[in-house]
This record gives sequence, structure tokens and C-alpha cells, in this order.
Amino acid sequence: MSQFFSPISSSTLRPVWEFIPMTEFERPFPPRRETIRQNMSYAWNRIRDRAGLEPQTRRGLYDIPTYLLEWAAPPPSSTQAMLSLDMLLEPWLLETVPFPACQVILDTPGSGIEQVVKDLARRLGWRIITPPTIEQILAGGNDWLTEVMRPEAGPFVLPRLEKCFLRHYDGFTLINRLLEWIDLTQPRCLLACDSWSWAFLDMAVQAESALSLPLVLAPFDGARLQYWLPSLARRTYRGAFVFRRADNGRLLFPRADSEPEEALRHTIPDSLDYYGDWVNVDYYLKQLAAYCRGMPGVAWAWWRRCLQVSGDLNIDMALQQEAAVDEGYTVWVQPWSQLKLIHIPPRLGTEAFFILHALLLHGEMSLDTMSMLLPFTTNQIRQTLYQLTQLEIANQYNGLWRVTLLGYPVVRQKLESEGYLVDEKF
Amino acid sequence: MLDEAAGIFRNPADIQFWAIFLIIFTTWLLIQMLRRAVAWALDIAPDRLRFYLLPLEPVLKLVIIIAALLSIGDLLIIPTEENILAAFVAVAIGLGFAFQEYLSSVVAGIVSIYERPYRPGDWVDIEGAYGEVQSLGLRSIQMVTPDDTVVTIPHSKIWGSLVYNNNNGQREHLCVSNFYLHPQHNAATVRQKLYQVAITSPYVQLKLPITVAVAERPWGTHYRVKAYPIDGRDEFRFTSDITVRGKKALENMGVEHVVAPASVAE
Repeated sequence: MSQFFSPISSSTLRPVWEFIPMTEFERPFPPRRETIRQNMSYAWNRIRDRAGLEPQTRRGLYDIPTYLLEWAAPPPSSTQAMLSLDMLLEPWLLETVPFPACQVILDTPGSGIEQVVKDLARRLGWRIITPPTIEQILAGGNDWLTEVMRPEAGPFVLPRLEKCFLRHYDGFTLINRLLEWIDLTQPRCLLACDSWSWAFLDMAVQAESALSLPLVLAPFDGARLQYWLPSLARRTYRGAFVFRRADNGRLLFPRADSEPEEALRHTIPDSLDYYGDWVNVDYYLKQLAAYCRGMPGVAWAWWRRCLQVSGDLNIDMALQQEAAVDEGYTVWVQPWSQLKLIHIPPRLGTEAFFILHALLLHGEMSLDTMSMLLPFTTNQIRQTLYQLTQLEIANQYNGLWRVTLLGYPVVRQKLESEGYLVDEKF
Repeated sequence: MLDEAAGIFRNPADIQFWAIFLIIFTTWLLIQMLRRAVAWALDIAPDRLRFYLLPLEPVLKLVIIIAALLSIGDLLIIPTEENILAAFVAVAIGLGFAFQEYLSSVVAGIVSIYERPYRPGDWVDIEGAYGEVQSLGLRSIQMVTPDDTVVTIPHSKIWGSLVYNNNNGQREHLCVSNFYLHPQHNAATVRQKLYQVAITSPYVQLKLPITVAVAERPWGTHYRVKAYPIDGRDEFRFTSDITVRGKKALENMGVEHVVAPASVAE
């Protein structure tokens, strides 16, 4: 028990999901020795000119089967974030705090804010505005704007502001008119916008001057991850899984039955989860939080990548003996230092960077839209997307391309180092 | 006189010719290795570091050559102060007459390493030749023009010519795209549209200012879109992109381009 818990002080309780002003966001930084290790690994990969080091797989450990993965690390639900946002905005929603009339929530990659604001809109009975089509954006969006601006329609939620513009010379008319209208009439509304689009819109149409200072999800540092990741598995299978580090056999999280009463008291269904400084953070989780830049969705994707199971009896005897006392199903967590991280090989050039930057600025895009916005032929773009898919950096869903959660940290690092506009704070 | 000259040099029987050949071979080998090392470093390092890595090559090459010359001189000359001075003067006078232009370029090359009127990676214009400096030799520079033609220019040009350096060691440099329009149009709208054309170019460096300058001329209105590409090497792709999309945007707005007779100067 002492491995995980410090004496409880309720004064340090914080919600696991918490929204803060954008200016207060501070992404978790890696421990110093992790920075050195990462730099050496990066240099080695550049020298070897290859997509990544071969993982030093531990004998007897295999990737976790999909069905088990869905139980051990299921997709996160938006409920907690919605409850947190609801609580934060309560005075504003009750109109006891009238200004600003329009609230902006920034959506960092994989944070699922779109679903959160939609859930909140349904709970409040507000209108959910469907983004305009590309044709509407390029034509100035008269019909779409008329529908949004209906005075009798009441408050509304626009879940994807990034879908209201295009990086095209005719792609700003609609968003300019929308922002001008919001600035002039101050309608009660909630806008969610991707952090990359916000950085671009702030630069291109000075969005921040027309709207309020955005709120953003507080970064998921090691302590939050220490609490949150096992809670995903506990949602439906409480105590069914035991997570152990594959390098030293140590438990990564406390067993469900060993948690202090205080910790359990803050895990009540349909209420906001809290965590406190009783959590002693494992080094692995600090590494994970720093690499994923405090973004829960990205951390969740990498967490799933780290999970392994024992396929036979060939794993270390000492580790087996440790795990023999586990009452649940033992899942082995691959150590960060042995994980095959995604790398961008030097052969990827300007075309790939333009495509990745365009995908991040717009959240997601079809091949046709990319052909319209980028100075390359459809075939060139398709070929580059194929390369990016092979590298696990981009993928396609419902005809729309996007940067993968696994590839996001390395893509952001690369675009920043090459001088592209990025979402600075995150 | 001949006796005095002979007194400067070592006795031919004492000169270790194999050592001289070894020094020449080692120098050649080091220069080749240096070239490959810089090329390798450029390949693995992020693009933004090329402006720090490329200028190292000529400096290190000069150091290697000077070290080789001193070593060879030590093998050929009896190293007293008088002998060294006499040998230096004799070589300088002899070569000065025979290779005046060549030496002028070599000296200018040494000066250019310190004054840095151009560095590898810079976009320069010397006597009408415009392009990216690819390499700095001891005697000349090699630049590649936008037409992919390699131009070799002796360093001695810096003594008497103007050297226009567009980026001066920085990664980005200002690029200008010109539009010549019929004067009958709404200038404010066109200016805003051209700004949007620039800001939506994927080549543009969004962290640096974008401006659209307008000037009225006797034959029409001249718009100059000034912006920086993310990578200066994309200058012509960038200006082409702005020109192509700018023309399309203006066409959609119904703005006509002006067609001036060839005799009208810009």
C-alpha cells in the first residue's frame, strides 16, 4: 500500500477531468533522464535512417488480443468531461455571470471535446449546429449563417468551429461573418474548436479578439494518468485486471481492494471523479504523460500499445512468482524504453509536411479537399498518404484522413522543428 | 644567388618525398571525408540546421589546406626565420605573376570566409546571376539558379561587384509576387483577397508578416505580395503558387489584368 499512497490531504483534491483557461495550460515535461534517453534514441534513429528501432521484445510476451484490449483499456467516455464542464459553466449557464456570452472550448487532439459539448447541449436542450459543407464555405455560407443567426432559436452549441473555414482564398468569408455576428450580437453559445485551427484562426482572422479566452482540458500529467487509466478497466470489470510492469514485475496501479477509502469515496457513478496527492506516480506514467503532451486521448492510444499478455510459461520465473498472487487477469505493460516509438524518416519531404499540417489545421479531410487546397496532384497526395499510413502516422475513416493519435506527438515535434505554425501552448 | 636559394631548401637527398605524397593524399582524403561528413550531417539533421552546418565546410577545408601546406613547407625548407620569409616572398612573387587572377580569387575567398557576403544556402545575386549558393570553394562559389543551372563565380567578384544577399544566413527570405491589374477595380477588396491568397499558401511562413503593397502606375495598378516561404529553397514554387491561385481568385472577382505594350517599363 505504501508503494502507491501518501497520507491523505483532502485539501489537494482535484477533479480528474478539469477545464482551465488556456493561459494556465502547462504540458507535463519528461524527467531529465527521459529527455536524455529520447534525444539519444532520436539521434540513433536518424543515423540509422530507419523508421524505428526494433523493439527488444520480452520473451514470452505478446500483443494483447483485441477483445481483451477492449476490456482492459476501453475507449474513454465523455461523461466525466461533460460533468466537469457543466460544473464549471454552471454560473454562466444560470446567467448569474452573463459575460462573455460566447464560451470557447479548445479541443486538443484526441480529447473528444466535440462529443463533450454535444452531450452538454443535449443535457441543456440547446441547439447543436451542424458544420457547413465545403461548398457552403466556399460560397460564403448565406443559408447556413441565416439558420445559425435565427434570433428566436436560442442558445446553441457549435461543436466544430474548425469545420467553418477552409485554408483557401475563398474559405474565410463565412467564418469572418460568423465571428463578426457573434462579436456584435453576443448570442449565448458554446463553441468547440480544435487547438491547431484556433492557432491558425487567431493568426488569420484574429479570432481571439472576437471571442473570449478559450477554456481547455487540464493536462493529464502522471498523477492523473495513474488514477484515470485503471479506472477505464474498472468501469465494467472492477478488479478483473492487474497491470504489472514487464521489466520488473511491479504493480503499476494499486489493486482495487487496497485503495484507501478516501480514494474510493471519490469514484461514485454519475459524479465527478477526484484524485489527490495520495497517488505516488510511477516513472512509466511520467514518461507516458510527457510524451503524449498531457493529452488523454493520445495517452490512451499509447497505453493500449504498451499492453501485452503472457503467451506461455517462458517469462521470467521471478516475475511469474510475483504475478502468481494476482487475483485478476495479469496484463503486462511494456516498459517505455523498450517501446517501438513512431519516427518520421528523413525521406519524407515537403509534401508529407504540407499534408500533415493541413490535416491538423482542419482536423480531418478528404482526398478531394486536400487536392483542392494543396499544390499537388491527387496521385501525389494519395502516394504520400499511403506512405504515412504505412508509418502509422495517418489513417482514413469514413473517407476522411486524419493524423493518428499514436503518430501525433512525433508529427507535432517534426512540424514545430521545421518551422510550421503549431498550437504553441500545447 | 643560386647558392643562397639552395641554402633555403633542404638537400634533395634529405627530403622525404614519400611524406609529402602522404600529406597530399591525407589532405585529399580529409577533404573528401569532410565533404561526406557535412553531406551526411545535412541529411540527418533538421532542415533548419543546414545554415549552421553548410558554412563549416569551407572554413574546415581552409584549415586542412593550411595545415598541409605548412607541413609540406617544413619538409622542403630548412626552418629558419630567414628561410621561411624568403620562401614565402619567392612563392608569392612567382605565383603572383603567373596566377594573378587566381590568387586574387583565393585571397577574396579567404576574406569571404570572415566577411561572409554569402554562405552556402544563401540566395544571392552577383552581376545578374541569381541562385542558391551550393558550395564555397577556395577560389570560387557554385550556385544553382532556378533553372537548375550551376554557375561558378570567382570570389574576386566581391572586390568590385555588388553582392545582393536575400537571406543572409537565415532560413527564410522575403519573396515578392507581382500582379499588374487594370485600374478599374475595388483596390481594398483586391488587396484583401491577395492577402488571403498568400495566407492560404501552404508554403508561407505564417509566423512572419505578410504584406500587400499597392502602387498606381500610368498603365494600371501594381500589387506586390510580400511574404516569406517556410523554406527559402521553395522561393519559386512559393511565388508560382501565389501567382496561380492569385490569378484564379482575381478572375473569379472579375478583375482584369493589364496588358501593356512591350515598350512600357515596369
